[in-house]
Amino acid sequence: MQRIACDERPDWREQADKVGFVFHSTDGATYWDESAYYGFTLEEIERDLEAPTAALDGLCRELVARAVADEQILRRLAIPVAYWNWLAASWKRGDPSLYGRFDLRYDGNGPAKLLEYNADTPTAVFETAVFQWLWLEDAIERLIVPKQADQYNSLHETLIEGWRGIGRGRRLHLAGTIGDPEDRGTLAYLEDCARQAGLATGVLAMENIGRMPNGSFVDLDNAPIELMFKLYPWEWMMREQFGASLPGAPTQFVEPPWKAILANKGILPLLWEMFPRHPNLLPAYFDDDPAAATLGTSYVKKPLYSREGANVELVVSGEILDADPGPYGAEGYVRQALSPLPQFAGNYAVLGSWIAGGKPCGLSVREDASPITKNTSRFLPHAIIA
Amino acid sequence: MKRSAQIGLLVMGALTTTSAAGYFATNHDRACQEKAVNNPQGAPPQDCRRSVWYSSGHGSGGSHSYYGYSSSAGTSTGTSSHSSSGSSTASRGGFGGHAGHGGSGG
Repeated sequence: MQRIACDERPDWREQADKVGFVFHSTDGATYWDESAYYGFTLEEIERDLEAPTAALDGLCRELVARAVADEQILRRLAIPVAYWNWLAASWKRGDPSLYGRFDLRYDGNGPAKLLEYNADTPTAVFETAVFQWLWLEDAIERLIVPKQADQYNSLHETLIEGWRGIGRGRRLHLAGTIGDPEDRGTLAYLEDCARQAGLATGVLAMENIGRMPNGSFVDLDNAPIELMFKLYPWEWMMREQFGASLPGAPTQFVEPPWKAILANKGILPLLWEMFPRHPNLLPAYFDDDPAAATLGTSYVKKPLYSREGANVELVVSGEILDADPGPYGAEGYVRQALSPLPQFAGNYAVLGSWIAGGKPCGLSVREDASPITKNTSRFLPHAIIA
Repeated sequence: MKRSAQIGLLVMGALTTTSAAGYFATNHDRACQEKAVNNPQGAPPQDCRRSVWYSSGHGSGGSHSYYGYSSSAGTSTGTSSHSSSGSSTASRGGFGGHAGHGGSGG
């Protein structure tokens, strides 16, 4: 694994705009950064990233199977009691998952370590699936990367395949915070994939979801929402006014309700407890567990519910070295062993390993000057070069 | 190693057709070829390409459908009633209250 400085394509912004990648820059700062790329060997991809991603997915599914049968775990994850049976039923029915992203600490040496699992509302999907692939094609053409370069990336077609399995021929509503450009772009892309898979689609703002007197959900035409992709976290939906109607509603959700378990940082200590010393896991404990003291005075403290690095604290020798503010933490925290992100040319890099339809299928790389990855962290493309 | 491949975008604002090599295309094709071995017609299944471009007339973003887009997505608080058909009443505004936290992704 190496960071390779390279020429930007002079017209990349036009290319991005052309395909609808409108959030390539945020607040004047570049989010898409092709002034360098990460080069991997095929062995690194297959042995160190692809295979561990499949393994981690398996561990997570074992955890869900245990959690839905163990009230103590659900309570530990601060999942409201009213939803326990609903989550369990969703798991037992085998409600399908479309996708997820494992964030990994990896530097080219030793096993990749799971930092967290974005199981419910992973973003960066369009730039991973499409725009970095388009970059690769251009970069080969313009001799920016070696002619034989390749990419760990079948996310686009795996998403289409996933949608086909979930609901070919069905009507799909996609809902989210559509006032947010990134969320709107993500919804548009996943809508695109769903259409290519043969689903009839429409996008809906979360606040425009209607609830009928019988508790069922409808769109603005009062048409029933039978299948809904929601780019909106389960923990938020459960705590909002219509949440109480979720268990009784006939809507099938993507991601499915059982993903609420895996979107919780509490899975980090639970996985460590179930699979101690697994090579792709870091030691982790609930913050109030006396065993957390075994981590010593250096660790990462993460809220059970948190997004984009918010409220994460990096504690080194008892001092908070870095922290990102945010609204999370009321439900509790976990502590994870400190495993600092590797630095390449002064940048901290984290890998996002994608899974769709149960198959590992793509990679994203984010960089930041800070050791905590945030929503402003830059996205760099990657290539397989040896 | 080189395979023909296409990424067809229907609603993202443009229709882009690409062609490139692909390790994953190769893997995908390997799986397809394995299927083809058991195919009585002896022909590879149709999905042996990296992706499929639906030439459905949706291109250039012209057909993207938003239901009730609201630029105030982050500000909804109370519940209201709305019925575009006028036949029955649905309550609205019971989801979306966390939108002020920014994007929902992680």
